[in-house]
Amino acid sequence: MKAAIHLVKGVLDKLPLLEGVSPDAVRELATQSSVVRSARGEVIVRRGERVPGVYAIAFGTVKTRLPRPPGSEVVLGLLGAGTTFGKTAVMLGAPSQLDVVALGDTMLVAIRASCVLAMIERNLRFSRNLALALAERNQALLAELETGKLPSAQRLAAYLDSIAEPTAEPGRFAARLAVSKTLVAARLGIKKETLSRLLREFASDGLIEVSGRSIAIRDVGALRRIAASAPGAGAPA
Amino acid sequence: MSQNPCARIACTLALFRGVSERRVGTATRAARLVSLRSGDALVRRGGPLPGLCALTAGSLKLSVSARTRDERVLGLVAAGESFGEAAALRSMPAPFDAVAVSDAEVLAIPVDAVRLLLQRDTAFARNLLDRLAAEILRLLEGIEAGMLQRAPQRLASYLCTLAGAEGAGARRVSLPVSKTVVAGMLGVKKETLSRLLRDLSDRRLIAVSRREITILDRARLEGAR
Repeated sequence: MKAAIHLVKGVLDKLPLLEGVSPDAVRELATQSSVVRSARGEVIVRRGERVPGVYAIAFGTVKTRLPRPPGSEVVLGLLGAGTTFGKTAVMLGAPSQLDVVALGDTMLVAIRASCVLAMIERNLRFSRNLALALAERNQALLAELETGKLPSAQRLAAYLDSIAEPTAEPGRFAARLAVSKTLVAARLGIKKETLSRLLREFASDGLIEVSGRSIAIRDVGALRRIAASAPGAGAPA
Repeated sequence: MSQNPCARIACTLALFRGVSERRVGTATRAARLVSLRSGDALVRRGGPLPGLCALTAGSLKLSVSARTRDERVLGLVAAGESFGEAAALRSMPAPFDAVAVSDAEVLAIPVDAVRLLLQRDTAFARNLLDRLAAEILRLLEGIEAGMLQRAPQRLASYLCTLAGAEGAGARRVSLPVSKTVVAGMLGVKKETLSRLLRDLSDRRLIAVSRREITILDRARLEGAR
């Protein structure tokens, strides 16, 4: 039992959500939290169900999705170690809007909802962190709402631009797909074949160079122009 | 009672519920009131938000349009409601156009004062967290409606939302804004909205008389495709 608390505290200590919160308060929270393990494909939170608390990911990756009939889904986000989910549902005392599904073996720490709400009543540092996290989520969803309407080429270009990082060579960027192409396609709300076709087109237009999951971006300006273009205004369909 | 008109107004807002008058006074010391005529923009997408904003009179529409050509209305703000909390907290430019749809007045509280209050006042922190969480829920619903439902379904569920929770039986609702704005909220062209309304009334699910709509068959409307 003692070992479990030690493990839980180790996970909580690294959370941006608890940054600057006193070690005593974190220790207290750890005693009220439990470890949850999920296997690949397991549904951790189901839409419409109450969430028992805020989950922190210790290791592994989860996807959040809007559930659809078998075979189709809309993946809204991919979350990895150090991130949390369930905050909105806990704040509102409402059922979850989303399914959360483990993409591989995942270890989570569940912080009881009542403890989270009690923290808000007495720890202003925690409230501030939570407010910033919710604000960030707000803006990400707003961007999603906006790009959700865009043609697939624009969505892909915007996505590649968002994950691109500068390389050692000045002015050069590269992106690495953290997950399979099937998942990237689902994340963008397009078919896998469409994703492959678009990647091929971008490559033959000299915008990118694809090698497995690594993508070298050869013309970041052109990519950004596609991402920002109005629908039907010259972007490949 | 405070001398500062901004503080007096702020005390009546949901965002400041449970916050002491003294703290509201401090937070709104540098706040200002912005008067807008119908059609005026408080801010355009990408421009600087004047702070955390609350509408004190009139009504305002939030929309995105820059990249999608067709305007998409994110929501309507009514008097007493706040908006732009997320962008203000993160010191980001406005993520939307905020345009008055009637003569309106906006209370703008500088971000620094908001952050300071957030560090000091539990009641304000809770109110702000509630607002941010409620907004996330609304955005998720918007994303879902846009991605997963077809336009007729979006219109049907919008009408049912307007009609409230009540069950069967005829019920009259009136569109709170012009059909152009409703079309924007649903992400369809105005002509499409008119066609959809005609279609629903041909099927005797609703009866339309300008902005007044009578829901004739709630159950079938909820299942409308």
